[in-house]
Amino acid sequence: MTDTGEAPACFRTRYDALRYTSGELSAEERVTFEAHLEHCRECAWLVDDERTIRGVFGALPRSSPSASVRAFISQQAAASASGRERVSSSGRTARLGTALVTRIPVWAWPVAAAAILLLGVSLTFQRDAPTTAFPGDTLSAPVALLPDVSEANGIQIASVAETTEASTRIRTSRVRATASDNYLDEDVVELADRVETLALIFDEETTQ
Amino acid sequence: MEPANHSDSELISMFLDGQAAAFDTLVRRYERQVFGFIFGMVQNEALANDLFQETFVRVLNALPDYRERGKFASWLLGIARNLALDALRKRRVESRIFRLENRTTNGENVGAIQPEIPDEVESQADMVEREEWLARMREALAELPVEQREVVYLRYEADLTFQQIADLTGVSINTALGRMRYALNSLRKRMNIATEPSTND
Ligand SMILES: [Zn+2]
Repeated sequence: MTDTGEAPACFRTRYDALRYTSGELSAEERVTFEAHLEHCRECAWLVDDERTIRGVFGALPRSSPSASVRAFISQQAAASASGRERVSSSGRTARLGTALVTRIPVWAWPVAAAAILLLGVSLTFQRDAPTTAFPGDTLSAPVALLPDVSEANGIQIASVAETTEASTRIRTSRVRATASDNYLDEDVVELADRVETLALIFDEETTQ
Repeated sequence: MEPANHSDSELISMFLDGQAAAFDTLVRRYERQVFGFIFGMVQNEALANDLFQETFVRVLNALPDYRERGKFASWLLGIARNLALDALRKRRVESRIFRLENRTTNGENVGAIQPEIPDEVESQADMVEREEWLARMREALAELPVEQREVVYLRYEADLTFQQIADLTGVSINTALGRMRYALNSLRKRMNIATEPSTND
């Protein structure tokens, strides 16, 4: 019958009811809506549902960041505040997806290099390169390394291709984000993501 | 003056002037919102921790170039959101790749990465009903399409208004409202919450 989620007949159900629950109506709108609420079941149901579900949501146990994550951020802040260091002392790379990049084992760097080439971003990558410690920096002839990787596992190529395809899609959607945000090193961090994907695959395969 | 009494932009200035503690205050101020939102998006505690850390590391490094265009909180949540969406996309790619590989290798179901739904709800005898209820809610939330789940968590966990949600996610407020309505509707059905009043007046 009345389904508050699917195209409600009452336009106030669509435009006012939830803004009422979030306190976004002006005083005047609020009065009008409350009067409406008296005789509109659709709106009343949505407001009731919202309240009930918000209540259950509020009762869910909360988890919070781990102590080590908190400590790590604090450490980074301290390092950064004293001299604007961008790379941590503990060998974790602060400037590039800390959690992501540091998990990639050494053998995966050739894969990383291959990914960089496939993505064709080695130039944009230079833009913010000076303060980064991305492994690709140190690889001058990554192409030659790709066959080794693929030989080591025939599936790797398919994975690389698939990852590249996904990456291209993500990059496209990223253009907007980069244009409107303050993010640094988007392409580099993205590469790191891709590389990690490859690393995961490689991990899976080499541990089988 | 205690750092906790300062505004966000004051804290940012203090941090840029070399006071590391000011950043800690910012982290504490937004920890619940940011972590709650990220966790809601990825539904995995370990990943949420990684992304939470990554969010603040990025903020840390971007602050020197940060020009205040809107609220710090929105900027912060925007970074968290992008990371969470990326992680979700990546997880989809990975599970696709693994499926592909499983087909070509020995058919063992090795790496199928599914979103992990935390299941630490080990109910104590007298709380079974409540726990089941909450577990059902959590499952229902995890099953929402990501764009609906996002609105729910931005609304309830990050305390944003629908207008702020619309701005952050780049949709119209009507779209944000529609997503919330659909989400509430699914949740209501999953939770067996009767919409129709049992009596009429
Ligand atoms: Zn109505």
